[in-house]
Formats: sequence, structure tokens, C-alpha cells
Amino acid sequence: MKCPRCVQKIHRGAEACPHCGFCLSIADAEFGSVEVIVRTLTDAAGLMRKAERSLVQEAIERFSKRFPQLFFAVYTGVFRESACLRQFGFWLLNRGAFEDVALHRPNAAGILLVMDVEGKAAGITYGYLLDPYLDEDDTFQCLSKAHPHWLDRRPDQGILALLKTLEKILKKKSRGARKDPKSFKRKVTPPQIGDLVKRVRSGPVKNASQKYDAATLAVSKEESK
Amino acid sequence: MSGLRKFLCFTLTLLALPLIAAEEAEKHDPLPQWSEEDAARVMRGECLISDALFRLQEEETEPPPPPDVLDLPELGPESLNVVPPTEILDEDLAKYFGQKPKSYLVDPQKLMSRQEFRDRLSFLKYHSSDSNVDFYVYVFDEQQIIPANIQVDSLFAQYFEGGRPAVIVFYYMGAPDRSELHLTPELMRSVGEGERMRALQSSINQAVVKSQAVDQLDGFCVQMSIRIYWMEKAFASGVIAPLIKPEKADINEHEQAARVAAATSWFKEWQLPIYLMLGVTIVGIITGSIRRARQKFYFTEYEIAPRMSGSHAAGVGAVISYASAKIPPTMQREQVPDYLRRM
Repeated sequence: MKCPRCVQKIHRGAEACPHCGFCLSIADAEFGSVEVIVRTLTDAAGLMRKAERSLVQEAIERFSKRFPQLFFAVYTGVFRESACLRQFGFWLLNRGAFEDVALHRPNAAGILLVMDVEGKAAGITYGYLLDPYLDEDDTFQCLSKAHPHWLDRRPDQGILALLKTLEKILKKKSRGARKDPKSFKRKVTPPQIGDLVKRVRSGPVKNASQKYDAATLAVSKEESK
Repeated sequence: MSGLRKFLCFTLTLLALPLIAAEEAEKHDPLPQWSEEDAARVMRGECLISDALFRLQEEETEPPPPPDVLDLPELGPESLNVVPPTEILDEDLAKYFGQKPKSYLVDPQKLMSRQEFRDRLSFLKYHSSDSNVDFYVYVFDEQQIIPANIQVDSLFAQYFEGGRPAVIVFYYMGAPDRSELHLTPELMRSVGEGERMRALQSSINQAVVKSQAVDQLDGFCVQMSIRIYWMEKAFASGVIAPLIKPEKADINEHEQAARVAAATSWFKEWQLPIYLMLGVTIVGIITGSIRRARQKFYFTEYEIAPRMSGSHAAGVGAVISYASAKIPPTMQREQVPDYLRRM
């Protein structure tokens, strides 16, 4: 978990970045504190042609069908020098009302791609639901797939490639979460203090034979009682 | 007195001069004579003075004498008697097959130059000095055909009887693939047909890679010499079993037909289960692919404490720049704050 402004690691539940003090109110001051109504494909910069937009829209709908909890959104714009992609993504995903997204899919389940047409950069922001399943490397991998298309000035193809890679990653993560949910839970849930105390008191279990010994000892104690 | 003599000599010289001049004038061509009419033609431009002069000279020059023609004897029908390329003259045939070869290299038609002949002969001599099996090469021209009435094997059996075992090769210059291999009877009994064929084929293979006919013969002889070493081993030990696998054509047709009939009957018997299995497999594959296409993926939702006052999201992913092809994604893996990127 990183701060959108200084890209430093921050603690779970931090109300502001301990390094730069960034929080939503600072983003509000920059971009506005009222909610904005947007669509899943908001080509504010006019980057894509109509046919390209419909291609991307279809891909977004396919994504929504494949992942019923999630939605994917694209925003293209021209940002001022002071603005930045991460901060804007963070702000839009918190303040944006996606009118073509069903109510049962909150913004916490959203993945937002923001493209800066002037600065020729793109970034991904995602909601809390995806915190255990996505990380910086995954999003970087998706953006890398889109990079050659964007260099060729084919934004639609870039977005399609990105979505394809994202789908692959999310499928893998979904299957992994079904098989081993604990490993994903551990990423977002802090360790319980009670469990830690229990482990410290019981001492480390070195191997299976010791486990067996402890179990037989417990059984024999019960029998003696 | 001397003065008088000088005066007389001078006078005589003066008198003789006109005579000498007239004589000289007679030797040279007479000058052309011009008439009034000629002058008028020149004035009209109908002829040139130079033309008249040169024409006069041309008319007077005699034509060159015709060249001497050699009187060649007329060609009779017998002079057109050319030996066809496939035929070997009788006198040469006698030299080839009339007696036991005196040399390891037999070339009565002089198809090789003297130097080439000596070089190849020295190799064959070296081989025979080093091996118990002699190696003879009969050289023929590319298209020549040995008459069918010559019983080569019986001739060689006769010539080499009681002598050292020998390998005799009929080599056609420029066509190594036509080469023929003959063995003396005792060697023939030891070396199987398969081994003989392999020896010949490998020697041909070595020859055909060369471009010059003489080099081809070299390659052929060297390889055959190597193969003769193995024949010599076989001769010493016993027999080399033929190792050539039977070709497909050699397989009995009846067996083949029986196999086909068995396969057909088996297929008829198991036709229904096979079709059923195939159908089930295809349906399974199609169903699986449709299911995979329609499969939906879900994620477990965990309670997550909000960060930086964001009620929905604070998950910051990567940012990538596509401003320049010189900065590939690999160089952008390390994420930096946007204000640094802008700079």
C-alpha cells in the first residue's frame, strides 16, 4: 500500500500519509469535493474515434460479465502540470459516480485506468475489494502490454491488451483465493494479538514427531483425569 | 690537259641528262591529257579533277592474283565412320578382357592423361601392398556399354583362380553411379550381397560430391579401399550376413491384404463404441470451452480499514509513460512520484 503522491509505503488504516501528509481532502482541494458523474468509458480528451470507443466499451462489458463483482473504467484527460495521475485516480474512484455501473458494484470494486493525453502517461487505481488481489507488479504488467500499442497511437488496442492481461491475472488470483483464501486474507487482515500470544506461550512446533508427542501427551492427561 | 678533260666530262654529262630524264619519264605513269570537253565538265561540276586522276590509276592497277587453292582429296563414305559413345572398340575390349590385368588400373582407351593414370595406379598399388585383397579398376568412358556376350564373372573366375582375392570395379569416367563391383569367387562367398551393395553405394556417394571426373575416381577408390578393409576382415573370419532390410515392396502382398482385412473387420466390430467415444469427446471439448467462456470469477470480500480518508479506494497501482519508445516499460519498473516524473 502506497501513497498516491509520494509513492511511499503507508500503514493499513493510515488517515493521512505519514511521509507527505496526503489524504482525500488534499485531493478534493485540487479536483473538487463534490461527486462527479462519469461513465465507465469517459474519453474527456477525445483520444478515441467512435468505433474505437465502442470496441473498448464492449471489452469493458465483457469484463463486467466475467467478474460480476467488479467493473473496469477508463478516463482520458489532459491534466494540469500540478496534477498527477495517481492522485486523480485516487480522487475519481472515491468521488466519481459511475452512472452505467450497477449499484451492487460499488467503487470499492472498481479498477480505473487514467490516461494523461498531454503527458502521455497512464496509471491504474483500484478499490479496496481488490487490495488483497492486485498489487503494483500486476498493474505494471498490464500497462506494459498496452505500452507498444500506445506508442503506435492505438489507444483502443492498448486498452484491449491491458484488459486481456488484467483478466488473466484476476482469473488466476480468483482461483488461488478459492484454493487458499488464508494467504489472501493475511495480506489485508492484521494478525490477531490473541493468536500471537497463544503461539508464544505454546512455543514453536519444530516437526511432526513433536506434534505427535504433544497430542499423545494431551490424550494421556485426559485419560488420567 | 686536265682542264680539257674536265671540260669534256662536263659536256658529255650535259648531253646525257635529257636522255636519262626521258628514260625516267617512260618508267612513270603518263600525265593525263585534258580536252576542252573535260574542262567544260569540270567547270559545270560534273566531275572532279582528282576523280579522273585516281580512276585512271585504279583502272590501270591489276586485280590481285587469286589465292592458291589446295586440292584436297574427296571424302569417301568410309571417312564418316564415327564410333558411337556407347561402343567399345574390339581391340580395346581385347585389352580389357582378353587376359588377366597386368596393372591394377586398366585404361587401354587412354581416358586419363599419363600423369593422372600414374597417380591412381600408385594408390591402387599402395592398397594392394597394404591389404590381402587386391583392388582392380577398369576405366570406361561415361556412356560406354560392355557387350552382353562378355561373361565378366566367369572370365574373372578364370583369371584370378588360385591367386589373391580381388575386387574388380568397372568405373565409368564422369558417371560414378554406373560403377559395377565384381568379386573373385572366394571373396564373393564370404561377403554378402548387402555388404557389397553398401560398399558400392558408399563409394559412389563419395565420388559424386566431386565435380571433376578424375577427382570422382579418387574419391571412389579411397572409399572402396576402406570398404575392402572390412571385406578382408569378413574374408578372414567367415561371412558377413546381409544387413539390408527388406523393402516395403518385398513384403508379401498376401500378408498385407490379410492385415487390411483384419483391421477392417476389427473396425466394423468396434465401430459403434469408437463413434460414441469420439462423439462424447467432441461434445465434452465443446461443452468445456463454452463453460470456460461463460465462467464467472468471484473474490472474497474482506473488511478493510479505509486509508487516507478514501471511502472506496486507495489502491495505487503502477504508472507508465509512453511518451518515447526509447524508454521501455522495463526502465519504468521502479515507480517514482509524479512530480519527479514530470521533471
